[in-house]
Amino acid sequence: MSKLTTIGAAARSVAPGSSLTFSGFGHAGHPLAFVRELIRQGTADLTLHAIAECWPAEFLVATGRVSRINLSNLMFEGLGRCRAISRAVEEGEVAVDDHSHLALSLRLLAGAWGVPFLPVRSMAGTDLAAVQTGVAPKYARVRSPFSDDEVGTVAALRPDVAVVHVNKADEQGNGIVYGAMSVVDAQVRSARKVIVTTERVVSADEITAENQVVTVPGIFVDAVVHTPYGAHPGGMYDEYDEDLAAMSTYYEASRSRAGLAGYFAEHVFAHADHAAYLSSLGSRRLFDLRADPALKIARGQK
Amino acid sequence: MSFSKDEIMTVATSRYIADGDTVFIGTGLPMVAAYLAKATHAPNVALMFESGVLDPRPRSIAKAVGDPRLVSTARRVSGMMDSLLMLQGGRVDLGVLGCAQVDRFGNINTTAIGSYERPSTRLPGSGGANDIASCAKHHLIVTRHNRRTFVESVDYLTTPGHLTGPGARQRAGLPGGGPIGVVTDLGVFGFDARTCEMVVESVHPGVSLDDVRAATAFELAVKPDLSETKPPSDSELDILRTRIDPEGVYL
Amino acid sequence: MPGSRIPERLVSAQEAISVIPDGASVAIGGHTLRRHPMALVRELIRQRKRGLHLLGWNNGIDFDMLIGAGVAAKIETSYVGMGPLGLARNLRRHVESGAVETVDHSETTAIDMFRATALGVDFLPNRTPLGTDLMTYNDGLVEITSPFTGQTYAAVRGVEPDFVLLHAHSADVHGNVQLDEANWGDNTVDPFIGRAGKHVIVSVEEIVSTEHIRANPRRTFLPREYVTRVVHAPFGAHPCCADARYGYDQDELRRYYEASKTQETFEEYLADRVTSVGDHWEYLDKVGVANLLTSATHTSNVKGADTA
Repeated sequence: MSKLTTIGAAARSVAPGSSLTFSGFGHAGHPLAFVRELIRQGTADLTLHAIAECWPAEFLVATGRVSRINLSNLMFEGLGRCRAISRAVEEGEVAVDDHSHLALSLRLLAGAWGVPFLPVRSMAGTDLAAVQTGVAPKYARVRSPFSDDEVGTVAALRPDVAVVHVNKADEQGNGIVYGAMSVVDAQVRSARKVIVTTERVVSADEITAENQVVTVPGIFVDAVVHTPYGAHPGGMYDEYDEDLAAMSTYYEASRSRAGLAGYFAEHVFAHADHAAYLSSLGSRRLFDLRADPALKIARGQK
Repeated sequence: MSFSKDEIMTVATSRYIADGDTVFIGTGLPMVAAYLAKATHAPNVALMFESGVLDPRPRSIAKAVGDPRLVSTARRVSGMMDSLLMLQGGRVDLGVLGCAQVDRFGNINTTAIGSYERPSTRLPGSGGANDIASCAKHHLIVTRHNRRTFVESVDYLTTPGHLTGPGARQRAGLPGGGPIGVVTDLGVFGFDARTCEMVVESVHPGVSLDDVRAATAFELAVKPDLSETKPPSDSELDILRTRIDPEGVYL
Repeated sequence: MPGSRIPERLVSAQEAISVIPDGASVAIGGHTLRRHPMALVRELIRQRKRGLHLLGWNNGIDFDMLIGAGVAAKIETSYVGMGPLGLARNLRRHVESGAVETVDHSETTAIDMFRATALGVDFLPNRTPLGTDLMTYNDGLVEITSPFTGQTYAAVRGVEPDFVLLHAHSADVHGNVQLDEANWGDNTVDPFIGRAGKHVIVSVEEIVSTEHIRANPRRTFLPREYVTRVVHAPFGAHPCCADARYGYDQDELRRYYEASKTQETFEEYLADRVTSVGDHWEYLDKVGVANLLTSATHTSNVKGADTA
């Protein structure tokens, strides 16, 4: 049976109070069409396990949908701090628990492997280990069974939902991501539910022809949603560049709460769905972002 | 040729990069410094980015660590987990880090100013910085120099320097050797082998020791053979301005 | 242009193997008759190495041949067998006589012993050996309690073999090693074995330019940071298969299997196929390079690779 569904149905399957983790890195590969739909539906009290999902986390915090974040780094590379997140933390609206990238990645990997903890060398001796503000402990030291040394360990995490944006997927959710893969492997294997959003829906045969680069095995996937330009205003490797002007529009708006309210009214709530969002951008803008197949950046970019 | 503060910081940073090193790095000034090293004394340096990109040869300067300019020209592309595990596996010679606060032992804060739970300024967090400082054989700190940054004690210890002093890293079980230097817009600093505390090694041309002390909230030791930082050469400046960052993305 | 002074690591099999001392620990890659570094294995025998501690994940003719040739004193793996042909007869003979010591693993703890070291930690938690005699006889498996859940797990001690021998599809002279498709590397434990060793020797089907490596960077399963020596050995896995490059040589495997019935007939096999030939090139000529090439370039033989 096909797992293809609408973005609305997929977003409704995320219950209020859920914990989520999103694909993406830097300004690329985030499932932002899905995030916009989640915002439209008002799903709130979310917990995020955020390694590199600056844009999903910022959008969801800016719209008041997030209560807690387990994070390792949230910033907009080249722009600066994620202002909505910073403001929400400074004003006590969102609780955070900090990790190093490796430690948080290993927490997901432990969840993926089905072990309650994994050893880690990072974080020892720092406040990342000493200050634990999460619902459950993240870090503990144990005696090594093979020496007299103490070793650090991190606790497994199993997000309720992973939402992963891919270049192409078949109707069973076998998904291919080109370029670097961030922590998608661990995310799809640790989450209880996996939603794949994809630039292109392709036949199973097309996936089989490239089966050596399948990043998301369909057996882990619950729903597939077709969202061309689903990472906009961010980019997608081998598809399209970041939309720097659109990113900058958001970043300027994020200087104030009023600015943010205006941004989300115009770019999210004004549109019934992703198709309407894309239409509002216009064809010229979308096609100017297309990446050259060899250079992987848009024509005219240096 | 005259030069900017960024340019002397870049050149001073590049001098820490040895030929053949695998260097874990982010974008910005450190990346420019690494490409300067590669174009001059360290042609065989391999850069590793936390995005999972190893040893790229970009056609133009990258704007982000996951930039397609890096991904499409690398010797290996994987993912974040793989690059961080290469680091934890002990294969990285040098890491280069920035900071918001740093103390005399090179401990860094990039998490929060003020209290952790209700900070006056919430910062981006560790990212891979803690992993680099924990696991790379050594690391270097590159930052602007002022009293808000060079503090008596960091509000939140995100990334380990020499922790509380001699032996502290070993007691914590950290595999890496810790910070070997600090490059700022005022000078170049090392860490005393006995006390693990920061010492002034050289001041940049036109900067006095008093300037450095005025910009530092803790007491700084001074190397007996304190010198002036060797200024960027004309050829280094030419490479930076015409080949590496001609558009002035970072410099 | 930068690049010219990166160390070149391409050497002959003889030179690569010559540095391995008797008594060393040597991990061998591949997956039960698939992509074992057989050219390097045969060179170990030619050079009359003794007392080696062999480590692996899933092994077959590689371990069996080394045991039969008197090279191995101890083996540490989850499996040694000849696939559909049957049991590894040299292994049986020498373990039952007490000549070779064994350290047994489950398939996943055999991954974790390499993976722990590859990941830079002393051990990894694993549930599979609990309650079995794997725990009784393998001192690299020790109970540990989760500090978060209180559950009992086996801690699998990481190993750091003195040497690692792998076979792959291609590499440049600097030791950037690739497999033809991005995920072949994930199908065996070779990426972890290659990251766990002190000295890593990789034989490859072909030597390629660094430009070719950069053209497909996701295929680099072992970058040069981990590799100490590269050896050019076409059909270097023979008579095992090498993924889509060539299938099993069924006739040769059967011949080996029959020969391994007794020590005497096995030694005749070794004399014929290993010790009487000077190197891997002579071995290929002896086996018949025309047949190898013809077979490897016909689709039916390569497709048959999964049904030995």
